[in-house]
Amino acid sequence: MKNKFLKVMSLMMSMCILVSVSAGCSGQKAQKQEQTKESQNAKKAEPVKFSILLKAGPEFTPDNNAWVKEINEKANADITWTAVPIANIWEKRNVIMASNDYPEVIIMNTTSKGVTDNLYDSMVKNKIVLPVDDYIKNAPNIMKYTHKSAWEAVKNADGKIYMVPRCTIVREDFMAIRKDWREKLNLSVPKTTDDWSSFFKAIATKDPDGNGKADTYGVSDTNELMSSSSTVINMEYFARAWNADRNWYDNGKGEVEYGVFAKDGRFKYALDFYKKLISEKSLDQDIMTNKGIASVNEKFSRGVTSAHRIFAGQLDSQVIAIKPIQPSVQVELVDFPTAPESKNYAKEKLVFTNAGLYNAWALTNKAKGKEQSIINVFDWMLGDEGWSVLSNGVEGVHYKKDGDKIIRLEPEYTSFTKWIGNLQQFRRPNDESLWLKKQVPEMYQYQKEWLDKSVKYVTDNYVQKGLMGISSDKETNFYKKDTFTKKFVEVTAKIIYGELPLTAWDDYLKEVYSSGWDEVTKEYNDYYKAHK
Amino acid sequence: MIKMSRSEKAFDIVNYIILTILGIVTLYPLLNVLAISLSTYTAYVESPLMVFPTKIDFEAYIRILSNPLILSSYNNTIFVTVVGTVVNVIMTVLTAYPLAKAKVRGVRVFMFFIMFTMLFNGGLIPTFLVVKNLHLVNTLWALILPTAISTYNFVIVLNFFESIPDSLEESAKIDGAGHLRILFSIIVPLSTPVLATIALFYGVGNWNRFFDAVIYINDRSKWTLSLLLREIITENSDVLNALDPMNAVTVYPKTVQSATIVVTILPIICAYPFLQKYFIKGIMAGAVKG
Repeated sequence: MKNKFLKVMSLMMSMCILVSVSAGCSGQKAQKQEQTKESQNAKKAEPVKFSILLKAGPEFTPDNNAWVKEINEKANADITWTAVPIANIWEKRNVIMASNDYPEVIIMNTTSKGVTDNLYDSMVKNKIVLPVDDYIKNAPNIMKYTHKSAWEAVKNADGKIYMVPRCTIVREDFMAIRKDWREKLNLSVPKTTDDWSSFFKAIATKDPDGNGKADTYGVSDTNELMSSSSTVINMEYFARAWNADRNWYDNGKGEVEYGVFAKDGRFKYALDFYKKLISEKSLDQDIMTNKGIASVNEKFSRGVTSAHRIFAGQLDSQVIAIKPIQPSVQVELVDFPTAPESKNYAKEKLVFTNAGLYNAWALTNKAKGKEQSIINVFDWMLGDEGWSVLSNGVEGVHYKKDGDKIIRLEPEYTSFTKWIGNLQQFRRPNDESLWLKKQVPEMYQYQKEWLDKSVKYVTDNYVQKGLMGISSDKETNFYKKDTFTKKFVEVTAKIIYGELPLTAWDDYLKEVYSSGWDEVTKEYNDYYKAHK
Repeated sequence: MIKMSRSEKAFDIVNYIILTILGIVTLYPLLNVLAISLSTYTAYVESPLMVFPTKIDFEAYIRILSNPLILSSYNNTIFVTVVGTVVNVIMTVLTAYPLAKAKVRGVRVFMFFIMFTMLFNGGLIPTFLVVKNLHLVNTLWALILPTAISTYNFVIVLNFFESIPDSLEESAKIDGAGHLRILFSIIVPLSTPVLATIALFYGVGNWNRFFDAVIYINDRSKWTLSLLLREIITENSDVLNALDPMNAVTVYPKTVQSATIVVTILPIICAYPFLQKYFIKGIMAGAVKG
């Protein structure tokens, strides 16, 4: 009996102990959960601290900057902006990387096609930059406002993505001409290459500016001619008539060829066109002294030339530039011309290589542990609230609201808007307000129409798949050779000025292909077949 | 009075004509730049080769001088130029004197290492790491100390010191003067022309210091004038190159560029007349050996 009693007591005590231990543990768990939630809340409340290295103009100072404070407050961040001079951003960034004193977020060099950063490969190899694939999945705004082509372009050979693209508008640039001169000379809008040569000849000979001097030309270009790295090459606009510009073309048989270096020598048609312009004195006679696109743009702004290839969003600022000199200025945009020989290339199609990239942002290994928080800040920047701050600034400081209307508190292109261009880390690339500034209100509708047309041109006329993301070392090496850097300009210039016959282009083409372009073409074709 | 022959007169006339033409050719670009900087864009377009502005307009200067960093960049540049030049001259003299006069052992070894730097240097990254490890990054001293001695200027001073007669030194030694006394009481006063020359070379170099400022300076408040002005021009050119179509600013780069040139060279042009006589003496200093 006594033993039974003891056994029961022991059992009951064991049960009690067991119950109390379970209760204690769950209580601790609950306490821990509550503590975790609290610490999480505390962590959520704590702003993410990181530094960004980016380029900015001299008007930007991060200290006591209302815009910087607004971003930090609204994005729950504590960002240190290391703004580097625009002119030498890459040298500066490279020495900072070499010093091991680099920030959490760095700017990466790209062209519109892909990554061209000279440190990229070593940064990936040495794990200096972190993959962001897992974090961008949770960034809906970044995914929404980044071109698919841009993601393809920045994807590394290992299949991972090591940077977040900064996108720009993907569009085609058409030729702007002086509408007032055209109407004064009673000419119609040029459509064919013959129309263009007649138009330019009239500009050169009939004194459209009425100053009594024969000082106007049809069009100009830089002394680099078609070898220029600029995206705006006036001569290239005309070469499109024969699919002989600096684009890749699908020949209709599933193969691609580079227009200007096409083996059939079609660029000779373009050279012949330029020769005609030279002989009629309607191409700028000082073309070989024009250093840089700025000098060509200036000639259009000064009313020396009648045509210049331009982005639709910049039409109004061109008018403003010309108006003080020639108050009657009007400009209009013109679609690409055709030529009698264009039908020979009707089956060919342009192949898309423009990823719409304009630099990208990489997270360095110093951002380890806060990758998602940083990406969240970037995602906020592309959200409605963040985009408003990035585009318009701070309400009451940079703008005020009148209902839904935004009224800037300073003229366009002064202080804030001057530096914001580079500092906008991310963009909604097809946001109209980014490109159309309404400086000349009566031009807005026209510009909008052509902006939409320039974007639609790409989707309608380019094969979208096939060459996106291609990065060719062979091509990069070719562009460094004298065959391209010196001889391309030399042969082109000598042909159009009559020192060499047109057939000299065929000899040059042989040299181009023997200097490595054959391999480049093969590489492009292999990539195209694999990715079509 | 010596009567000049016909051929001598003709020679003089031809000389005057050539030198006048050279003078005009040299002076014209400066006057053209000044005139463009003081003109409206319209006036520049109508007459790009102007020597005198048709109508004075300060828009380009206002655009540059209204930049919030202009005052600080001027201050920084003046500091680097004045302090830097003093440091440069002192360091150059203190390096040249023992190698020229004090007959130290191992002169050839020292000279080899110094001359080696005329042909080779460590490169951008190693130099940056040295400056960083000396805690000079983001200070104005990064623009002064790493380039304290120019080998080219050092050789000029060294050659001049070697041309000073040893007898002066010996008589001072007899009177009990030590090396430092000889240097500062005898050598330096005799070397005024060459020191003024190298001071001018150093001064111009320090005034125009640009790339070092890009690499070593992070804070905008410590930017130098050349860096700021380069950025003002680049900011506008970025637009015109269509690299980024977003900021389609209405700019008149030619007038702004010209104003930039004037703002940069004006202080040097103001200082040069005071140093000109020494400059000419200094150039001739090594030419005639006593």
